[in-house]
Amino acid sequence: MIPFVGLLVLVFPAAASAHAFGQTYVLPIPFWMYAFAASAALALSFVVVGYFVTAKDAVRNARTVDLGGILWARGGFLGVLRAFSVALLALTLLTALFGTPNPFANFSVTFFWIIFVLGFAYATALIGDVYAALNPWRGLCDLIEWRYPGAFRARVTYPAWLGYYPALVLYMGFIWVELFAHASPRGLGLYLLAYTLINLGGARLFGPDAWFRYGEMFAVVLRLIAKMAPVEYTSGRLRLRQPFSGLLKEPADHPSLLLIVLFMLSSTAFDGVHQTLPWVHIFWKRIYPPLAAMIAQPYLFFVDIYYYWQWSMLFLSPFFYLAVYLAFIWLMKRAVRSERTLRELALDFTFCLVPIAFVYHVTHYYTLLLTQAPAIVPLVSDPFGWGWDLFGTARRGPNPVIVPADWVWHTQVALILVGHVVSVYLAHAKALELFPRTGRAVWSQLPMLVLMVAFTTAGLWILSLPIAAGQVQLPQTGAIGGVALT
Amino acid sequence: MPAVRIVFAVLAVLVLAGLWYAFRPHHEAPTQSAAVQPVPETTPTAPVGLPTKAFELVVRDGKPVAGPAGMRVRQGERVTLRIESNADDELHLHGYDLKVRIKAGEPATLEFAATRTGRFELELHERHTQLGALEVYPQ
Repeated sequence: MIPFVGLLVLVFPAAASAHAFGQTYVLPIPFWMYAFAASAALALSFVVVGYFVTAKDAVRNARTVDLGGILWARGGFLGVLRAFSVALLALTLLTALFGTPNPFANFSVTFFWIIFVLGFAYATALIGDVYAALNPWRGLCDLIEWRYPGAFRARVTYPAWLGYYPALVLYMGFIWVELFAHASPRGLGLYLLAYTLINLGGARLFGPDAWFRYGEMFAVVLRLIAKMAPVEYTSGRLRLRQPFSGLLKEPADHPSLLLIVLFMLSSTAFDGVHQTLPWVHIFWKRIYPPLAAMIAQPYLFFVDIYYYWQWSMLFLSPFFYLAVYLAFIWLMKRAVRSERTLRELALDFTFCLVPIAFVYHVTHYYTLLLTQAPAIVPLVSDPFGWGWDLFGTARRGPNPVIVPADWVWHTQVALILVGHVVSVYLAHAKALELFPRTGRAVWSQLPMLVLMVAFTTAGLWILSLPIAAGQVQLPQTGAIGGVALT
Repeated sequence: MPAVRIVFAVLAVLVLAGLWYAFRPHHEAPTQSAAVQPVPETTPTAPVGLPTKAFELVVRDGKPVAGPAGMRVRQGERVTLRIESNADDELHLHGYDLKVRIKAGEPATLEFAATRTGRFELELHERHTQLGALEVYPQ
């Protein structure tokens, strides 16, 4: 009997949840809509190419409009906000560690996974990199520094070769926790505590400036997302700028940043694909049967292997994308006979992929944000789940928003197309800047265009796959497991 | 805004509209898959004109032993879910947030109109076992 239970959990890993927490009610995109979106992506790409052939200039509006001094740049307001941010981190840690084990009644789970990881990240695309000023871990360092001066004097100069690799490793760990750890509130608390200690250690070793630039993964990822924002904060002034223009400002400064952008794309793709029937079948119908014949008790053995297989696919995914990306960059280099090295070109075009990666993330998780975010209202009044009612909202929350399936499909397709067109546009503008002779610049973009259509179509395809999780498929599971079911 | 931009914006809209028209299904394609064999059934409670789909699940010791691979219905249809188990539990349909008590050996029934679209999971509440999912497709 035990193997069967194991199998159920295993083949249907979403038994607990699809994401780290919470439920979505999303249906796969119908095939015709997938076909429409894929062809629209291709056709619109050529419209963009056509535009650049005729326009012949990299019209990039680099102008910004000064909207005035930032409120928080003056006086102690920033201090208050940062203290609030540190207090929220402390509340999240405390509720996670000491609150109710029921994830739906514990403030920390909804606040961290839904409000911060999804809501705040998406807001960053609109309001810019406020996280740089409000980073709670940085705030914690400042607090300690204020009490114990010199605690965060850099002991080691940050090595240039290390780049953003610490953030990449932490980002991979974070996605692993999100998809596989099925952490209870307490587990989340322990992970957050460990992450806090890593940040304090990193800041103590390399100094806060270096660590929060290269090592703290939320700072790195949110800074990438903020490059799309229509506003920027420069020397205490708030400035309005053309949306997405931040992505063209400078090239990526290290290959590890390219890997982070690719992981943003590939981990979402992995999350989309790892519970679908075709993916589950790759392991259980192609890899498992020939190997199973060689071992006694194969099923028990392969239960563990299956997890390692899933994890290694997750961690390897950005490198698959990197191989594809570099192949197309190489083709582009050949097409324009550029003097620039492969590495330079790969870094030049890195940020052009951010919109595709970002909209893809939004299409996957925005429904979760809508269904789960309203729950924060009652949770604020009773953060520990101990029956408190601090603000009188403990028993009165707005209802979860369940978006009808056809609306979900339409917004998914629309968002993906918008992200695709923006990415194609940015890559063209970048090419015109790098290869000033227009003819060459346009040609250089054919490989890039194929690459982006491929990324977009792959993303759409994943959204159209049937979901394996939670489906009762007894004959198949019986055959797979080779276990008697009754 | 230069005229070129307007021309290309119009072109983009035309491309989108044309493709949309070309790909949109022109006839109502049934979403039933071959794997799903709902038992059509009319109950006196169902309003005239709305088809009812019935599904039966059999659970032994908290594990599903018989039932459809996937439950697919169209929005607006009535759904009858009959469940029979040899242990007490509670059946919970997510999203609709419907619950029904199950007593050992006695079939329990959940009846409702599929008004919301999406993929909703069915769970045995006490054992936290996933029994499958109801997929409600838009009309």
